[in-house]
Amino acid sequence: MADEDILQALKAFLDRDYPAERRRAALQAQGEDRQLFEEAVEQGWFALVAPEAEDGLGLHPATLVPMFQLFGQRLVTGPLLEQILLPGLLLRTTCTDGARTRLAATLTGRRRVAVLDPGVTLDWRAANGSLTLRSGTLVGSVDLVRFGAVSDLFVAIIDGAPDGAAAVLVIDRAQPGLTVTGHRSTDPGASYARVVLDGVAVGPGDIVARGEDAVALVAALRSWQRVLVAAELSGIARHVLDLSVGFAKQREQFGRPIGGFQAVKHIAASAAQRVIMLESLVAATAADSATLPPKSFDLAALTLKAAAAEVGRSACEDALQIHGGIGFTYEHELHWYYKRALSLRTWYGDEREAATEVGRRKVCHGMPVSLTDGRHHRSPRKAS
Amino acid sequence: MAHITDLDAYRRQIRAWLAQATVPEVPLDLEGRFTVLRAWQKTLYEAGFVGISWSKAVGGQGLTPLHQLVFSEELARAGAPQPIGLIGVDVVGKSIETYGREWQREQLLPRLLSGDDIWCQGFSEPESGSDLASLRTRARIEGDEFVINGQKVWTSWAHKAQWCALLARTDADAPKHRGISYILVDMSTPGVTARPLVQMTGDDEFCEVFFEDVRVPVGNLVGKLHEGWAIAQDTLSHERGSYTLRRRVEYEVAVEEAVRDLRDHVDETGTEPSDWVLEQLGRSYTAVRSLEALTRRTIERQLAGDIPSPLDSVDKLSLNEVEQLVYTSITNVLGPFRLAADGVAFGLDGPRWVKDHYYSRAASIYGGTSQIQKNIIGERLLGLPRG
Repeated sequence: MADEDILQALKAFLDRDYPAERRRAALQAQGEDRQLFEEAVEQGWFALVAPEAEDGLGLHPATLVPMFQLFGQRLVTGPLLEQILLPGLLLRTTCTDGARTRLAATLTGRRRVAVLDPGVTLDWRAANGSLTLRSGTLVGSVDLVRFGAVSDLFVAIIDGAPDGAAAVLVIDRAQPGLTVTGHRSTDPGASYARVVLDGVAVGPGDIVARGEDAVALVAALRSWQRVLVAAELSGIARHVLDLSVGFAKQREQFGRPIGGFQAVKHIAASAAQRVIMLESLVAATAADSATLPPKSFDLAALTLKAAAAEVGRSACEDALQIHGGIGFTYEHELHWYYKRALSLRTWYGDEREAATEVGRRKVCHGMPVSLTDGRHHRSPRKAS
Repeated sequence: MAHITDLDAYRRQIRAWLAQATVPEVPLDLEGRFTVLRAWQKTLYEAGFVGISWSKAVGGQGLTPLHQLVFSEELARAGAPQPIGLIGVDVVGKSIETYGREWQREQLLPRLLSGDDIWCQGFSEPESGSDLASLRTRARIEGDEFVINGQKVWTSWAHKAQWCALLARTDADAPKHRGISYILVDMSTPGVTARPLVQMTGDDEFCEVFFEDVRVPVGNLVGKLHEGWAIAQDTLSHERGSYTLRRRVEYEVAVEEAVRDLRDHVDETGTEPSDWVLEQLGRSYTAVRSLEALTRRTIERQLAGDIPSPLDSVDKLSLNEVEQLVYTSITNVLGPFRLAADGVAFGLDGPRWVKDHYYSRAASIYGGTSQIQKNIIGERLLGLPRG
């Protein structure tokens, strides 16, 4: 199935079977929609990037980018990253049978997976906990686990503890020593939980990857989540821009549509410029993802997340301003988009964290200089 | 559309040529810069690298905008400067190629590309800036000549130019957009005076230009009489689109230079810059990556012939946002060390960045201010009502 067919099928499904009432119901239940989950299984969403050996379609994760843009535009919520992206990526590594079987169960919706990654935030990482694997025992906690309370399988990311190498593991929720405590969530599209691992026994069958393989896998997991969250943000930004333009054409004050006033028009035009530039960057990153070396892709993903966090937030705030009072109420859908944008903005780095990390990787980590290796030069200039 | 391997081969060809070429050192002072870059344009032209996407009939290479972009990238990679005559090559020349008469295309364009003739763009006037169509420079017909009177301003390189693409009012009674003609003026014609203006950067790159009973053959008209406004739109579209393509490569080079200087500084001192400094670099890098992504669409539009378009204004607005963000961020890193011209903060070359920062303030003014671009985006792209 070509990528365009997948997207068209998704559009047709959402048009037909996902009306505003269902979307609102999910938004009032932290993205829980059992029916959508089952429909997603039927439609094969969870199998798209899984390897063919696991009855997946084996598609490149870039296929998911326009899908996540559409999820953002239509404000489809739920464990989309967790079920659509993660198992597929994990199953591409040669993991042990025990791990593989459990991950494969997520593809058919029999299990629900969440990630224990202290690195979902950069600046608040210390506050988000840490995980340590010591002689077969997993110790630590992660404070922000998306859909942690409603999942029965956890992917634990240990990205280089002081005493040991990196590892990616799968842990059953039922394991002794593991406790899950739900948070009150301000995100209408996702619940969050704190997961504590108080000496959870880890066997060889729990291991997805170790050492260098795990380092590469963790980088890929984080980068692809950044790219898809950014895609979702760009969809949100596009939708709230379209809403604003439509509203500014209809809403009249002083006897004419408010979109005719430059004060309003310029807010919309400036937002359009940022949204179009973001959409271009989303498309470019997806297009380049197949050929970029891993380190360059990681940098591209961080860069995209920095751009999307900024534009996602600011486009929603511009839309709120253009809509005036109505946008501040539950009478209008705008607030849901804004709340989603604010939560996606922080996930795997907001614009400031992501930009700082981009700067660090450029300046401190010896990334290759991409364009200049020659002389300093001055260029002819123009004005007029 | 050019095949990708074709472009790869072209890139290798350019690299090989640049490797053996004598790339000039460019002096900081304007006179020196002009002389060196004009000679450099001639060298590039003779090697087939000016007018890459122009037709062969007018001295170009008949290749695609993608080839042009590959060349701009390789030029930047080699640390080599752009040619001097960009107003001709990137802005007015393309309109002459499309709308010009046979003699104009045949006689003027090859010299425009080679740098033998430098061009300027006589659009803005003291009383007609953003409201360009209100321009008052008059051209009346006497026999087989236009007689031109009026004044232009912000005219880059007018004091160095041999030719000017001039907008003049030829019908004072028609509605303002319908009485304008697009006329090519030889700058050596009696009655033309260019007076340089010193810009914030200290350079006197642009001028005010006075026209007093300047007599120009009617054959210098481009397109039809009174129908110059559409051609002016075409020229502005090039200024907003093609120019953005070329400039974005320069911003990338600038960010990479700042990165390299900071990295050298880290290597020498063994200390990492603060998170705030890294953030400034990261934001600059993010901005240039975003602009690069946007210009991929510009090229697609150019290849599809979708110009002029209100998306040109998205390009121009993006260009000025990115340019100002980049140079503001990098000079922010200098902090108070921007004040001591030879002071070095984090290994950054202070005077260079300060000058570029000054220059960046022009980006939201030339080629249509950012407010004009927002009007165009709001009305023609988003379909909002006119005010």
